[in-house]
Amino acid sequence: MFGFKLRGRKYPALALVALMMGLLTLTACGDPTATPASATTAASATTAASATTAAASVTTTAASATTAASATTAAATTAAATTTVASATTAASATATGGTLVVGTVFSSKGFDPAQEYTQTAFTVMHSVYQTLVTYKGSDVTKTVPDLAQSYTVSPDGKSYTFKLKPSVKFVSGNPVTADDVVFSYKRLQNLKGQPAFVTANMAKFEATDPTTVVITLKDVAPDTLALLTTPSFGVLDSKTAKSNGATDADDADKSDKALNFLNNQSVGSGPFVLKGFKPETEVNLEKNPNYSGAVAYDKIIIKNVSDVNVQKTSLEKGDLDFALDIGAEQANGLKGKAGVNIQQSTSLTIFFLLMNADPAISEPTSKPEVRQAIRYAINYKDYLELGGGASVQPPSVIPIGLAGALGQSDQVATDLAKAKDLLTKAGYPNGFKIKMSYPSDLTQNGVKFETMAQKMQADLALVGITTELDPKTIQVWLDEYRAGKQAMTLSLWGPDYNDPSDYLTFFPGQKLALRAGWKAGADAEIEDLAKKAAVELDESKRLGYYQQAQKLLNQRGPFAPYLQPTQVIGFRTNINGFAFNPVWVVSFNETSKK
Amino acid sequence: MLYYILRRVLLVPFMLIGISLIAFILSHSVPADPVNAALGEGALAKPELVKAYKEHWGLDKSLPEQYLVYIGNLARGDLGTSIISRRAVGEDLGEALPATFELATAAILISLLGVPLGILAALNHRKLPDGLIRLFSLLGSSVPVFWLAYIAIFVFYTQLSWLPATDRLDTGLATPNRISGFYSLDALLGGRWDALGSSLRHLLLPACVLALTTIGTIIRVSRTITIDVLQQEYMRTAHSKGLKGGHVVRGHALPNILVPVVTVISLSYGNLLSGTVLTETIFSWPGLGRYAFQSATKLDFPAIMGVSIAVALIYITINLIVDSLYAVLDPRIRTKPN
Amino acid sequence: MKLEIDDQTEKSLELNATNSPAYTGNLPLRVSAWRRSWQFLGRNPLTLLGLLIILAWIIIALAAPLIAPYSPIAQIFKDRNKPPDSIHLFGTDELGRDIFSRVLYGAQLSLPIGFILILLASLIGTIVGLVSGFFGGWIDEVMMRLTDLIFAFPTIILAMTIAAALGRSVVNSVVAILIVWWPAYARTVRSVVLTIKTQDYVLAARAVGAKSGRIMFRQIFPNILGPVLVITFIDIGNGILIFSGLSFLGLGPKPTDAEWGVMTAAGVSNLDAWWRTTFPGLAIASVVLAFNFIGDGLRDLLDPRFRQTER
Repeated sequence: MFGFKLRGRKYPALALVALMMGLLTLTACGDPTATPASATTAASATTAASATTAAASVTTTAASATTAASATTAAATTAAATTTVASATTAASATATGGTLVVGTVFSSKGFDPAQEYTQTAFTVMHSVYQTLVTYKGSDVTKTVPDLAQSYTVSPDGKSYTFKLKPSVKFVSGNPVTADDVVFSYKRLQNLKGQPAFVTANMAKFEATDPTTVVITLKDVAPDTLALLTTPSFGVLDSKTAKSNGATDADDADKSDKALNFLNNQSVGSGPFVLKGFKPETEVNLEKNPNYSGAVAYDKIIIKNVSDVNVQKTSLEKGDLDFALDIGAEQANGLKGKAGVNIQQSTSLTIFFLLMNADPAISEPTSKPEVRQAIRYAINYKDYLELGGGASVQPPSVIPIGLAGALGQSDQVATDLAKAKDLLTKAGYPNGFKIKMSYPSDLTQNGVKFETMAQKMQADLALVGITTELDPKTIQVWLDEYRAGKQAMTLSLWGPDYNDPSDYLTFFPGQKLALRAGWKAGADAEIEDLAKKAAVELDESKRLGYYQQAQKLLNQRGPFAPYLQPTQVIGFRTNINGFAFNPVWVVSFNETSKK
Repeated sequence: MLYYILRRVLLVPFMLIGISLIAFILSHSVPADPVNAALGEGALAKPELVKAYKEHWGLDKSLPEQYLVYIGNLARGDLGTSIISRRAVGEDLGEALPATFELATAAILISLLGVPLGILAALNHRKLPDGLIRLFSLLGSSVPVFWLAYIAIFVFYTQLSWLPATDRLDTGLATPNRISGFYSLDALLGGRWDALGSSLRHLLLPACVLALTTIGTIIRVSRTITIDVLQQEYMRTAHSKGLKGGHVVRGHALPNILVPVVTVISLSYGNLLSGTVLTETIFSWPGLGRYAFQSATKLDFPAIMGVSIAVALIYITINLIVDSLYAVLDPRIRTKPN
Repeated sequence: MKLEIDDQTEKSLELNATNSPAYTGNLPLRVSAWRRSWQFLGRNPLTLLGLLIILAWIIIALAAPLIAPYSPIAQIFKDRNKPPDSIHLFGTDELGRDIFSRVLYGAQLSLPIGFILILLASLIGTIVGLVSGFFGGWIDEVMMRLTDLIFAFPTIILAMTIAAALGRSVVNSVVAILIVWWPAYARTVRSVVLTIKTQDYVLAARAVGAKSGRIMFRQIFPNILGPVLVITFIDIGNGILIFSGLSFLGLGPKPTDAEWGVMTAAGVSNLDAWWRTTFPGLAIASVVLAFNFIGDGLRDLLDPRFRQTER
């Protein structure tokens, strides 16, 4: 069809295009041939700090390696190339220490405004650039320690908290941290009505009674207030700088605040680091805050978006990353015994649970307590520990091990298929039944895919005669159904918004999460009564006692089957010291150091 | 021809309205609320926060109203604001498009190797080189790209450490001053040699993976047409006149295969430009494909619409260029009335 | 956004070539081409190899329950993530299922899906192309602008929204692919019809006063059937490829289904267990390659350019 005859002589235009194509082809040929040469530098340029020097030293090593190789045999060109690369890597890691920390994670944030973002990556960053009144040290989230606050007092009625600020703490701008800044930040958090605004829901008033005193007045007594105040959302902003860039704490801040763009790309806090740049798809840059009151561990921190966990794992292994925050148990296994890599597995505070709808209109079989109890006995908890890997545990009930108010290991439900079948018979299903099980198909949490667990759950329930039809939904659609309480059974999870058992009241009848399981108010008077008492009790041991009692009943009658509290794997290079996993912000960079 | 092109250009606004309408209807037919992705459990429990959010993003308006507002803004060149990234969609696309352009261009440059390979195969028709090249071209278009990408990462990054597997630049290297948005070109123009080397290395692996999927077609087309041309009578005449093979190819075959080869290359380029979801996702390449995938996952309506319109524009432009190329390269078209 | 399946390009090349005013080819293919194909196989070992591979896969698909050593869904949890050995030829996956058995069973899904998918796409495309090319005028205009729209629309957004709106299932995934796939056929068929329409025998039939429908089905349809069937057959491989691509993104079959794309997707979460990714990927590649082997031969055989040279 293109075989038209070419009349006359060569076409000048055609010749030109042909020439261009020839050149392009040459360029294309040029690329792959350049590979071995450029590969040497590939390994080297891990850090920018001394990119040129690194490259230079690498070149030297490479040259000597090649000479050595060519001395032995002339033919071993390929071997020489491999050696070069290997030595280049070593050279690179030797020069990599220059006060720069490189962190790999999967970005969950689109910005770093404490009043707007409520995501993991944002928390990690905010904790490094903003300070809160009180905070946690290391991985201990049962006890708060002072940060900006020097001391605090609680009024006798439990409704008013008075904080005294440390003197002479400065923002990165050099401005002193005052009570006005605290009040501005908190009011802005509340009035911006952003995603994190709910943390202030119980707070009626913020006042600066003098330049170093802040008073927070609550609507209702809440024993969890201090725990709540450690949340990075309560980070304190430099109100002068923020205001001059469009921020406001006015009542209509949700419409009049114009600082979003500004705060996404730089920070105005008093933390050890300062946000210097943000590329939403690729990296976050932090630099040392020269005005920080204490010692700062790094000159620079680069947080990279490495969305593939395999690549995260390999990069850590090669030393391209100092931290890998999202690797799962499977990757951790692959890293075992690898030189230069430390793997820390800690039990996370997230629980994975199976929801069984108690509403007969949605699901007839699971509306019977015996059936729900049977399913709890049918789950093979040990296998999930293996799927979770490392430091996974079986949660004794809804409150995870590690939080105050959790039950002990002895209260865990033990797998018992005979009992399960018995209970099913009692409930009128001697031959089991058919049921739909939803799960968020694109969700991977703590390195465990919900898709894998759903298939495992299906196999477990099949052993007692329950036929489950898997109903995978993208997380968007799944959330819609989940929040509407339309699912007969679903796999779900709960991670604490703040580290207090009160965050788990939601599992009790009539509360948000229980409603999703069709467990309405009045469904279980005994449990509801305990929950009510727990919510307002100020005596800590009595309060925790109520929570524990309620959970024991929940384990027998509730519509939930918590089956896994997965491990949290953090990989880091062996030259990193002082790392402790924190369930809220994952890692506090300034508590670590690099040799 | 001119009339033909003119008509196509005039149709563009209607196409865009059609595309945006389809995108709008499709994305709104998903039984899910974007608020779920944007707000967490804590915020969703507070109706006033949900209300404030919906008001802020105009999600409280009726659907036709939302669409009309969108079209109105679009007419003014405003693609709206992403409800997930809270940045202007235009700004997001402004970063994603050059990344995709750079990757696609690199992939096409590499796959241009297919032209000489195809000609080589044709010259050795039914001989060993022909067989090998054909096998290679068929292999390239048979291997699932998501699989190939992981194999490439495993071999060249994990095992051999030759090439990086993610991103566009080495960690910590400052982005070259933006001129074109192509990191390699910007680095070259700005004299940033460190960034140039780095960006080229980062480009190589994903570009080669993509190139392998397109090179098959290019080889096949160049080969087929060269064979065809070589068998034409005038070529036989040239041969019989005693002209050497190479000369025959250069003088007679090459001009003839240009039209179809340029066509297939442009169309492949167009496909690559409209974003390569799997490759970009696997290599963490911050391009259009990944952006599309993410916005569809999160039901980011403005971003979905923006991507759709961008892809449509790329498609339309490439096709117009291809058609115009015909006119330039094929003398007969220019003389035809239509 | 074409999911990196380059076939669109090729098909659009064909259609662009045939659409363009430069098109002068004599596309109507005659049945004689089929007769020649047998001799052809002898001369084209790759095509023969392709046919044999497909045949082997068809047998595997049919006999999977007989040859597979394990059930494709049975989980032996204690043996999870085992590398290939004599008990599990291709190793086991994250739940202790035998990958060899799953790969074999995978043929039961991928082959028919690829076939049905392409068959439907070509059926819709042929009808639209036939009507559009034959009647011309506003019908043609509307149809062609519709194909333009679909070509210009990002496939991934279409597929993902359909999967999200209708739920994740094989059928919905097929529907999503169909929507983007038929226009290529419609355009090819239309351009062929346009050529045939001006051929003498059609003009003659019209002159004698034959009805439109009659001309369409008696004169034109038989003449386009050959090339359409061939393209359809060649395309099955591409259908399997794009289907597995969507599965890989989690938009097709359910995870318990033994489907190659799904298996690959589950495998890449742990590349240390290389066997979980490698074998399903190889299965896809082998089937698609086989179809391409066949296609390559057929293209050579049926390409008008080559027929021309054999005159």
